[in-house]
Amino acid sequence: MPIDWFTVVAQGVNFLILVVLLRRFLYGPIQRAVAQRETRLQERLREAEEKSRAADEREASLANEQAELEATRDRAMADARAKADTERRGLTAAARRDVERARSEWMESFAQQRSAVMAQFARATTNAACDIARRTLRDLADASLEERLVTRFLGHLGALKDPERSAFADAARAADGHVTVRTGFPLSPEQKASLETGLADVLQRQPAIAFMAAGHGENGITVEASGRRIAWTLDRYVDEIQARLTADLDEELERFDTSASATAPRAEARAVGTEPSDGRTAASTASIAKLVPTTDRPESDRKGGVA
Amino acid sequence: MNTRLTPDEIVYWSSGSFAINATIAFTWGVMVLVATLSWLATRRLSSDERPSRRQLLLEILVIGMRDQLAQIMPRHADRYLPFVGTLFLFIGASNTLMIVPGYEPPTASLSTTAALALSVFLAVPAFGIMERGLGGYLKSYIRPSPFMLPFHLIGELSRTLSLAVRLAGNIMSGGKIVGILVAIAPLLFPIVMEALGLLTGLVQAYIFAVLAAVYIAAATVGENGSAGTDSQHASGRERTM
Repeated sequence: MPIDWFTVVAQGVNFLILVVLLRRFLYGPIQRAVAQRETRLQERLREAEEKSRAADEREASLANEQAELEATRDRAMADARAKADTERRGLTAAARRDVERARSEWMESFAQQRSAVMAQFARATTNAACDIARRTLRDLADASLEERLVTRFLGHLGALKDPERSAFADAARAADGHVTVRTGFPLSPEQKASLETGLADVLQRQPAIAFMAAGHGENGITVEASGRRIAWTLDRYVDEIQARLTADLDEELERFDTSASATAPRAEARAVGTEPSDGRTAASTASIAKLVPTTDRPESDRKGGVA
Repeated sequence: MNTRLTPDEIVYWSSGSFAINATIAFTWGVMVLVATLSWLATRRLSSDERPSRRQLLLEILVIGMRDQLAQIMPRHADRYLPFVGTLFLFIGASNTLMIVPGYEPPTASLSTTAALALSVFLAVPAFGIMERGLGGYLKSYIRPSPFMLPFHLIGELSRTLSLAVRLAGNIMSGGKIVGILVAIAPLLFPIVMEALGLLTGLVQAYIFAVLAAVYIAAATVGENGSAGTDSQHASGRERTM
């Protein structure tokens, strides 16, 4: 295979020209573009690393802040719990005091109401008993209640035992024979005379008697001298009824207190500061009304007595 | 059947000892084609982070050549990329264009391959002297012993000759084989051989460029210089070729 040396030289020159051309149009631009991109990417990487480092620092800072916030929150929560506990105890104590005060006030009010009801009941019972006795005597025995009272009182005077008789006589003697006779009804002259005779037998002297008709305030006949009394009234009957009524009422109240004590914790939980409800008073009043005796009690329970 | 052994025999114009033959003419064509494509491809390069697909293809080609070169001479890849890369591109383009009807590959001419081999032969001492200085480069011929000088000189000449003959022989023989096969079995077999010829042409371009890089690396690296890695790579590559 022959070699054309002119072609060899020409091809060598051509190759060198091609090297220059490609260096100018291919390698140079490509290498510059790649270098610029690499520089830019390195810059971006460096920025990304800086941002990442800043983010890490920020994350660490935020973590510290979060830890501090959590610690602060925990402390605040603990303080709030302590304050709430203290406040709860204070409110509970105040509620207990209020409940106790309300209960005391209610008990006092209840006692007053009970006394008033009892007094009213006593008056009503006495009046009713007197009316019934008066009508029964008139219808069945053609006698008046006042006459029977005077007769019964005179019988009572006559049946007095000696010590009682002597004591009353001494009292009348100390009052210079002044004796006061109180009745719930006006006395007729005959009745006054009978009483003067009966008292003279007891005192062994003629007394100076002052008759006082007190109307419905007296439910019988009372004789008084120097603070000593001899009486025969219907109050004993009323007292017995009141005693039974009071016993039943106390028993009912005891049951009510037991049920109220069972509901007391719930009331404390509500930490209420109000008075007991009106329903409680109404219930108590209803209990009293339930305990008021009716007229269908046995006759044997209604006998009179001497005080 | 084409009976010419070399495209040098096709003369388009001559004047005295000057003759424009097919080798020179097609070399100019290849040069114009490669240079024009390079100019068109790189006139709108962007340094953005998302370059165009065309730019990416170019970058893959150039950076791929640089990386291959960096495996041989890690520290001097960018410096010698134009020379070695142009060897590869010129030889590869010349061989690839064989599929164009009427085209005569310049690399099938011993004149062309001799010119390329002589370019390497001259470039190796030039780059060696640039890197190591004249004394340093000349000392490499008497290493490890002055008695090695004749062998070094013979090696320089023989490798230049081998570069030229290997490339020209492969390309020329490939073309001749295809011509013979076209005459014998004109239907499918020549197509397969053309494809094989393309592969052979690219492989020869790669071999030529890599050997040139190895020779340059061997010349530009001192015995205990900092580019020892270059020397080790170059020696290893040379043994395998």
